[in-house]
Amino acid sequence: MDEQVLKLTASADRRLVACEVSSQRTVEWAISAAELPRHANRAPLNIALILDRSGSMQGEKLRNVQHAAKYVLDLLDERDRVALVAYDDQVSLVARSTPVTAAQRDVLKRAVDALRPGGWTDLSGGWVTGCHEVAAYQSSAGVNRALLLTDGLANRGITDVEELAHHASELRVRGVATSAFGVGLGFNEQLLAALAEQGGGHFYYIERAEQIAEVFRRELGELLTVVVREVFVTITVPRGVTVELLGDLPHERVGDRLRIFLGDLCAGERRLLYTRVLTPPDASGASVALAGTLCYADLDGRTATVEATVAFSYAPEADVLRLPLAEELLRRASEIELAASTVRALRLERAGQPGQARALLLQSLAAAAPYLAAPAAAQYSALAEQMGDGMSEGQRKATHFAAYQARQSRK
Amino acid sequence: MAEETLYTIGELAELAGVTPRTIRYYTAEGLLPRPDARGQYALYSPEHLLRLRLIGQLKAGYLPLGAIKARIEHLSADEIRTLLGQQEPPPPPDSAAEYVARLLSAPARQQLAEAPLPYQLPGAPPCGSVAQPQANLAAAAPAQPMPPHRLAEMPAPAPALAVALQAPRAEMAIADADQWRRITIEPGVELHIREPLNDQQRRAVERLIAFGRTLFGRESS
Repeated sequence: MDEQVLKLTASADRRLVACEVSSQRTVEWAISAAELPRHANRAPLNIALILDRSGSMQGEKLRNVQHAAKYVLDLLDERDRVALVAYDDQVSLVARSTPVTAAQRDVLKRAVDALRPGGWTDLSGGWVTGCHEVAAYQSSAGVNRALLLTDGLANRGITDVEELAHHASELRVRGVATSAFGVGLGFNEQLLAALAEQGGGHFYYIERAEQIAEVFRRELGELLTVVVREVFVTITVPRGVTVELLGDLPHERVGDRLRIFLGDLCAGERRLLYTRVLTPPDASGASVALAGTLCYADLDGRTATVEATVAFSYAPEADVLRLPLAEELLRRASEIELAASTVRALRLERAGQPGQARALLLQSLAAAAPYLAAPAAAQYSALAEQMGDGMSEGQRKATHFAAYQARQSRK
Repeated sequence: MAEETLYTIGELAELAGVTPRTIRYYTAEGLLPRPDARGQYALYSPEHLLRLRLIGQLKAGYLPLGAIKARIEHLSADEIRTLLGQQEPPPPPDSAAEYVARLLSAPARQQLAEAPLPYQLPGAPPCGSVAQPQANLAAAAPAQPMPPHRLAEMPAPAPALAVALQAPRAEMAIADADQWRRITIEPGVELHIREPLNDQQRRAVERLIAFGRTLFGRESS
């Protein structure tokens, strides 16, 4: 058997738990993907570019999107497939999924140039049509993903966040992922982030139109170096123990298992997950262990697993408290938790409840305070005040995007 | 794989979520290989753990112990790992292509008319929660991810989707500033108009639409 492509390690803030009372431990699960060997073949990409051409895209935005789309076409070659979908209130399949040969690339580029701005934003229609093309040529050896770009609110077709996120998650389970790109200030960041997160892809906030090409390059760079696909971690929860996942990441519980979805990972990518563990009292000398299994598919479509375990020994409470805490680990966990609270607070702020948003964030900040560095704490407290006073659309989106990246432990 | 890790019966019992007594029973019944008993304690390997997990899964499927034994007795550690891996998430009932096809084939998808206002579902919502997605979202404070396998119980497109797709046509009712709107004169021929229009422009546009449609042999409705 060849070397493992993925590694999983588990570590805790302390290795002891108390006999007399319930103990709360924090466990960090680190997942890291191997660097790409130089000779390695990359995975073929099977993608759909789904571009917003609603009226609001007129001018500089559409020109930048056209430029970025042509740039993506230049990064692909005949191993890859691409479909081109443009949508406003009508969805047009500009080009069916096709291999990116030199001749096809020219045809596709001309089609991109011919895009004209239109009417309303049938985001769901465009997205579903793009997914249809990807699904039609789904490959078990490649990366199958819809890339959805928008600058506006979904105001046609399916517009409900929960419903769109549900479809994205269903498609992710079936092997078709979604990444979402929001341009400017007019789109709904909660909707796009939910679509990408449940869809097993990435979300990007693109503040200025001239950054579109650069962000597409980043996403494509990751897709072109994907080394493992459809990654998830399953944590088996022993009887009597409670395990809670921090960061509001996509997960599900089946019986005594907690399953966390990570999607496709690219070469050298590292992800951190945090769980809070509550152990019941037990006799001194006993132990309790948490087992994590990382499951993934390699580029040949073979599934493989890697395991890691973190075990806690029972000891008198006084001994437990004497043991030093892994403070750095707790600080990292607090930051994930605060990022998740920030997203929740932003949702309240956007819904016109600035007072509640501020209170929620301050409350989380107080809980995290013991482990947080002073500058970070000051930043969050300033953010809470800003939320209380009301935020501009730009602040909202920038804050949301920073929190999204922190929760994902993505740089 | 950390093949060197060995467990005492207590550790193995904790990891597998069973009692030591169960482990001894399974060993006596031949469901588990005997532990390495050369040292002071009997030591169990990661393969014991894998076998215990598989037994747990098969038991959850109401398979009697005799049948479980027959099924796993001759499996290698790798085969067990594969089986466990396969059983991890239950495979979805259909493919991505079938799922998308169902979303696309929902009735009247292509005939949708303009939505009344941005960020609102067209037509009367079936319940309060869909009418105002923003408020709805705030109420559901901790983002609960959707149960991914809900489809098993709910094969048809979600109810809100059906409502969205069968929304009634809304005519020329746009109050939003700087919105583009497209009017189909004939399949493949469209008129693009930037709203809002003043009354004079609106009358002219209406005449233009009516005239355009007569050119293609379609009277305006």
